[in-house]
Amino acid sequence: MTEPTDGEVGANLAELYRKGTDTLPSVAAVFGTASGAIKGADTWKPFLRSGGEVYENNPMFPQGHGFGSGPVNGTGDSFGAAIGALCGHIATMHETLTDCSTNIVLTAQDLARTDAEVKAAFIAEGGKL
Amino acid sequence: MSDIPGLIEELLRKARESYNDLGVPYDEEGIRNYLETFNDMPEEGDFSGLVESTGTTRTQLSYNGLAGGSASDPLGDSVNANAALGGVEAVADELDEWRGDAASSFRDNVKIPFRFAVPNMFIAACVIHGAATAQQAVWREANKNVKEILENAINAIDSLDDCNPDEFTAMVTVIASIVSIPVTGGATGFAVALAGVKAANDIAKNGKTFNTGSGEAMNILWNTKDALDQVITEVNDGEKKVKTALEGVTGWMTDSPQQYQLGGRPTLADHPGGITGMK
Repeated sequence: MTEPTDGEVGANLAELYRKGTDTLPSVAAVFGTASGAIKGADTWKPFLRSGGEVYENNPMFPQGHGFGSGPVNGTGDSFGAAIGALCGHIATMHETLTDCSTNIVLTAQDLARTDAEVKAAFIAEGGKL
Repeated sequence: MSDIPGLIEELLRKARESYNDLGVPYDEEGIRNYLETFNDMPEEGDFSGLVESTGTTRTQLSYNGLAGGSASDPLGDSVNANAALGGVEAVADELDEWRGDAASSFRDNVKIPFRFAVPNMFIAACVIHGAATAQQAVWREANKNVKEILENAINAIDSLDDCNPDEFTAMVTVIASIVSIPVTGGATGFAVALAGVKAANDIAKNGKTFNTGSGEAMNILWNTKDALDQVITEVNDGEKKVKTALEGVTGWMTDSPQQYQLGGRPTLADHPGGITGMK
């Protein structure tokens, strides 16, 4: 098996650098957008309101029930719990991918600095130190 | 702004006039207390933000690898796959050209688990979005039904002075506005079975009908109450379905967090390095 030349290594490091600067941040951004959107779902919460027991002791309508299990009594909390759980998973993914992209860039740059020919090829192929 | 409060006032006024004409006692306070329950209902627009936000999240998380195309929404909607998510595969392929712990760690902890973690997030987002659309549909229909029932009551009382009083029929369509859809899927070994719910595509001619009746205002008011009680019952039933769907997906996400996460924190997430040379 033939070892890659310094030029090939530099070019591949430049490609790795691009994956760290462009590709992976694009993926991480998806989770940033998704997280922002799902957090925005909280805007519906002002519509939680009290309900229930609206016409007890009413001579014409002596018994009855209001919107007892409406948005107040459970559904609102259920939305909050589901959104919160998903948001947590999304945030973890976003953080990990963001950290990986940063360190892939630093790794490519560190390796490119170890050899003059590799460094030259790295820069020639679009890498930045 | 809902016009229900105005309709309630109009109905109360017409009922009062009709009772006075007959010279019979009229418990306006009791009727008012009941009817004003409906003044404070959430409206369709109140849930627009929730539907839109959860829809955006669903779209962002729709993953179909490098193939793109569409992702399979377990509730039956067609959602375009988010091509940007395929970038993880491209990064992993690039790292595969390198030796060292970092490359293998990325493959084991990101590339492979990403393929089930993100689709699982997508399923969860679909269930939450479906619940949001169902919630919105329930209150949209509730408002529409209440308005029609009140208008019918007003028209029926107006008609009492006619030689041949008219009767009016309303259809309560709250529960018909949503559909339950079993959701199955998830990563191998972590299959999920949830009771999904979403807004129905078509609710025409699918609901319980109520007639105002005629004869005298009291009769019309009692029939109106029956119809409005049905709205309340169906709202509560709809809310229970929404709640059940949400509790199911929340349980899935909290009981099995590993299904939604990467295999572990890869080496490259903590520090640079770990690559020793090209293969």
